[in-house]
Amino acid sequence: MVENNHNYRQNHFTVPQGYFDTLEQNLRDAVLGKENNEPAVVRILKPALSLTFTFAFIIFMGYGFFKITEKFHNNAIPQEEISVFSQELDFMRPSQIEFIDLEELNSYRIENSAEEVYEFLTQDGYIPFALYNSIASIEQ
Amino acid sequence: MEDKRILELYKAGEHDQAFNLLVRQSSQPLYWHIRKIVLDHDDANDLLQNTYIKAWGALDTFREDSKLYTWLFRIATNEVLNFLRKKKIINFLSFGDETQNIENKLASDLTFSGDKAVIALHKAIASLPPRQKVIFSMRYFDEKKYDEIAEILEITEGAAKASYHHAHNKIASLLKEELDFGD
Repeated sequence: MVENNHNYRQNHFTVPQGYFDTLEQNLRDAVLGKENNEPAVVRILKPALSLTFTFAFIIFMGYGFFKITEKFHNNAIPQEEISVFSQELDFMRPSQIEFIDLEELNSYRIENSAEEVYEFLTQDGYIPFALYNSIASIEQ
Repeated sequence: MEDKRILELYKAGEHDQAFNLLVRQSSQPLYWHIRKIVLDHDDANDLLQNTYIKAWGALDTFREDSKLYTWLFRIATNEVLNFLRKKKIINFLSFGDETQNIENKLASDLTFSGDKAVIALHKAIASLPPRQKVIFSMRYFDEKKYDEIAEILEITEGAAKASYHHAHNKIASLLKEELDFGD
C-alpha cells in the first residue's frame, strides 16, 4: 500500500559531502554578494536605464528595418529602366512581338541563362538592347 | 522561526545578521522541500538560491500577515512550480519521456539510495501535473497538514485535500500496473 509504505516515505536522498557545511556561506555570497557589489547609483538608476535601453533598442530595430527595406527597393530594377523596358515592348508591339512565342520564351528562360535567352531572341534581330539588360538584371 | 528578530535586524540595517538568521533557520527544510520534488541536487540548489534571492529582494514588501517561514515556502514552491512547468514544455518539445528520464537519472545518481520500488514511485509522481506533484510531496513526504499546504499554495483546504487524493489514487494505480501491487 502506498499510504503505509515506510520504504516509500523514507528520504532516500543525500547531499554531496560538506554541502550543508558551506550552504549558508554560499547563499550569503550569492544573495548578499550580489546586493553589496551593486553600487547604490546603479540600483537607483537601473529601472530608468532599462527603460532607456528598451526604447533605444526599439528605435534601432525600426531604423534597421527601414534601412533593409530601403536597400531592397534600391536593388529593384530602377524606375527608368522599367520605363525603357516598357517603351521597348511597346515599340515591339504588335508587329514585332507577335513573332516571339511567349510560352516558348518562358520555358527557354527557365532552362537557360540570360545570355542564351538573348542569343535565342536576337537570332531574328528583334530584341532591343534594353530588354536584354532587364533580363540580365533579373538573372542576377 | 524568529520572524520578529529577523525583521528588526533587517530594518535596522543589520543585513548580514538578519540574513544569517533567516538562512540558518530555513535553508535545510527548504532544500529538502525542493529536492523531494525536483529530485536532482543541482536543480534543488539552484532553486534554493533563487528562492533566497527573490525573498531577500522582496523582504521590504513582506506584510507580516503570514509567518516568514510560510512566505519562504511559498516563494520556493512557486519557483519549483515554474521549474516543473518549464521542464514539461522542454520535454514536450524535445519528444522526451519524462518518466524514463527520471528512472535513468535516479539509477545513476550517487546521492540517491532508493531501490526499484522507490524509483517506480518517483516515476509515478513524475506523471502528475506540477501542482498535484507539489501537493503530493508536501503531504506524503513532509507530512504537512492540509491547512499548511493550502496557505503555502494560496488555495482552499478542500482543494488541497481533493488534489492529494486524486494524486494518491493515480500513483497507486500506476504502481499497481508497474509493480503488480498497491492499494
